[in-house]
Amino acid sequence: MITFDVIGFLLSWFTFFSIYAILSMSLNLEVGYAGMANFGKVAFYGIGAYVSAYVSMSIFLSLAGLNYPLYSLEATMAMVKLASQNPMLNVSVFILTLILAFLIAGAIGYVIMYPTLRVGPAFFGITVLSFGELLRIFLRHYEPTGATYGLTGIPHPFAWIEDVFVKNLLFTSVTLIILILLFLYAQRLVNSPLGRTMLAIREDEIAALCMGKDVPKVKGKVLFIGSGMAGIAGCILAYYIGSINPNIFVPTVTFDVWAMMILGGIGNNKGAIVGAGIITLVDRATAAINFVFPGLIIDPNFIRWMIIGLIIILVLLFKPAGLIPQTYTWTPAWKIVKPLEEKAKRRREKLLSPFKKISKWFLMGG
Amino acid sequence: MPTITEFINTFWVGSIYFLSAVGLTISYRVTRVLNFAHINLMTIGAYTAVLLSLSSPVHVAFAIPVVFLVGGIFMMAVHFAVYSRLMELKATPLVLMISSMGVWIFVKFFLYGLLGYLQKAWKVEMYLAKPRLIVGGEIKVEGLTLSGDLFTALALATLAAIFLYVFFSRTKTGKALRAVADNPDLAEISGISHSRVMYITWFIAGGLASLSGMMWALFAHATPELGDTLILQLFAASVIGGLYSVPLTTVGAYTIAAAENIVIATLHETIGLEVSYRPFFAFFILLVVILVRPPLGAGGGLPYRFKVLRRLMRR
Amino acid sequence: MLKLGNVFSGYGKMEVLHGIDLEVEKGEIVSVLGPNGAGKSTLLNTIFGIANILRGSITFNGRSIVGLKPNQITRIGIGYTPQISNVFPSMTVLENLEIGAYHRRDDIRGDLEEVFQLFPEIERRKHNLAKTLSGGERQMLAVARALMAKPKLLLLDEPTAGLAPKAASLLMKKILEIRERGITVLLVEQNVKRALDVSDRAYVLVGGRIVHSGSSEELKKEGRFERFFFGR
Repeated sequence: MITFDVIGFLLSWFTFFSIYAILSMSLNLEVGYAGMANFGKVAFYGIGAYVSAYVSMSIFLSLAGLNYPLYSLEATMAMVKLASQNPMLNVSVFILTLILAFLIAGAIGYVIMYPTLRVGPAFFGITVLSFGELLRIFLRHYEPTGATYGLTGIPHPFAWIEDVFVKNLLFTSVTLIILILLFLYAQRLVNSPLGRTMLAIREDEIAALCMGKDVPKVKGKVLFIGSGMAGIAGCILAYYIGSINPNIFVPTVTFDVWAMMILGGIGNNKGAIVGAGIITLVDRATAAINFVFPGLIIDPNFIRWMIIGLIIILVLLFKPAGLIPQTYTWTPAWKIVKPLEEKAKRRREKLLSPFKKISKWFLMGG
Repeated sequence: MPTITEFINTFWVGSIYFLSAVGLTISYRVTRVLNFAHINLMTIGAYTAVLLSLSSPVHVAFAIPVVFLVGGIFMMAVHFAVYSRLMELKATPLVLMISSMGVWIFVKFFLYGLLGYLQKAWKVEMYLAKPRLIVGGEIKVEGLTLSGDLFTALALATLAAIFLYVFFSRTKTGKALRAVADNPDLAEISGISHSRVMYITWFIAGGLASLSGMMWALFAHATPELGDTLILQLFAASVIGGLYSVPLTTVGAYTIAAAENIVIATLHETIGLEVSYRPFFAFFILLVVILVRPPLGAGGGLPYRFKVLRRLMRR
Repeated sequence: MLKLGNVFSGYGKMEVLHGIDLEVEKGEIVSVLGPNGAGKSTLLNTIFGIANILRGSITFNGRSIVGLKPNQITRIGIGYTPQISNVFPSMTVLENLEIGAYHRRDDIRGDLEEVFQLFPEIERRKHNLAKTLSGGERQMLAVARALMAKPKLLLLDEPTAGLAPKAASLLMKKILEIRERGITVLLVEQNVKRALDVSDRAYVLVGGRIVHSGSSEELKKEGRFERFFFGR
């Protein structure tokens, strides 16, 4: 009899949910608001993970005065001991790498904008997709980050807590807090003048240019923020699973994120989070099925990916707006206009209700 | 110095890239769908050949039409199930591109599942297979073996190029395809059935891509990741052609093949670059092309100027 | 020949035409006049199955054409020249004309000759790409492309828009010549005088409704068009 660990399941679901919600929110900023089809999200996710793994492990090892290569077995063994010694160091390294992952992934995103600036969405998609694939190939051959085996022994920020449950609970709540902060930031961003410029670029690039908007600069900013957020997600992932290798960052991760965004609703931060919640739940559930019923004739993983593909197609075909459709941007003007409009609507309804048919006929002009 | 093998491989691999990339270019130009499912087609072509020759080897002349038909019909089915419906809803190219991505991932893992099932059911190695096709015409020159696979690839590429040239410049249907690429609404008004043209385009693109997958399986071997490993090269070749021009796509395919064989062999000997860094060349070429000669218009880009570069040049 | 009975149509849920009755007899030139946004182009798009028809009937030679696809409507003998993007820019003039005759299975060489007789201006440039043509030549090519399908009825959407007066009056003369070849023409125009000069009858379309109709002579005499065009 296999006992099913409900709380463990929930904790792991919440952590993955936060990671993917951050990713899908950042993709939504790029695709839903600025209209840039980023098919290489996984690249920035991977950059964030690798940066935080590399930096944190180097700091720990150099502070201990050990001079092993990061990927060596000695380094991994040493990390296990070192990680649980100094709580302050663990937490501060975690915060430092969060910031570093944001900045470095963002900077690379900004640089990627340059060659792809003059070409349309199709070419942008191809280039970024290729970039993601290339990065993975590069990491697989790059010795200092452990080539195919990757880096193991990334110090968990709460490794000094002995109770595994408390440790996981604390980490999960920290990731949830990061998600909430990023969500508030994204909401503020899309309802700011920059957000409205992004929408203008999505709808008509030439028109936005003619309004005096510096389109390349805005695109660069959006890619910086979006990639930086993906970097943060990668950083959290690296600390959560403790070891990373290039095979985690395959292009299919990007499609996962796309499926979440499309399911939730393009151009809506809340939608992105809802989509992430649903799909990570399916993901964790299939993982659980795999655990409970081993040796199925068709690997549940394949079925899971087929479901992801189907979700993308079916949502586009039958509910293109997603679960939560895009709403109006909340501009300062709305604060004045919206109450007035609602008032007018109420008055109109009041007026119409007794003679709805006749007045409708009258308003339509006979 | 690169040996003669590298030169032979350039033409061999280049022909395979050409067969696939040209389909991508044509389908984008006519249907306005950047078809990521094109990647599946190569895998499907390879495994069709593998399944055909599972019990006993078959002749390549029999395999070619079958593989072409399977690929073409698969792509027509995808158009029927997904793209035609989205086109009816007046979806933007971006939405079509995303839907093709959905098709890609669905079909890829469907194939994984199917092959895994067959592997268990038939007790045959499926994830790393090689089609057993009978290909004659082996030539031995001064200790060098030129295999029939090479000649088949070259012949297929040449035939495809001639066929496409004649098709687009001489036949009525080919002209109708070009008309739809140019101005779909006016083509419909002129009496050209839009959906018929779409099906024809997908059939040709799908058939060519699956043939190229079969040829790749003969060159290397068939794996479920076959198409995925060639994404970079295919798209780079198509981007060199601006997703528009068939002759330039041909140039792109052979250029990338040359960079991946001749150039890397030279660099390996001179500066000791690892051969596994091969895909970087395709990406490098892709970047250079979109920086120096951006394919404006076709994909909807705007001719911005690079301020940084200009400032540097002024200094 | 063509008969519209109480047609309501539009794009998506938006209704543009509110009950159009219109009739075109064989051998006539009928013009539809009206200001911008009156629904003139929508009228032609409705006939051609591009705009959504919500209610009403359209018959061509006694046969209903509601619900047919544009390519099927071309096959039963209606030609259409849209106002904008009416040529295939990256194909040669000759190829443009061949595409115009796409659905025909018989020999088209005779018709090519005829079209070139009618438009000698484009014969000189038959091996040039259509995007290199001037505005007037392009408009002629557009009309010629529609003629290549041997239509019985030709719908022209503002063929003279954006042309210099000289080119415009030349094109109008060509329309009279087209009629002499036995092709009925339904002409949509904004330039009232030019349209009335060539047409037999005219309809005035304002705000999606036909507000006036009559023979060209009558309408010319009345001269009340300011009222429809300027609102008062």
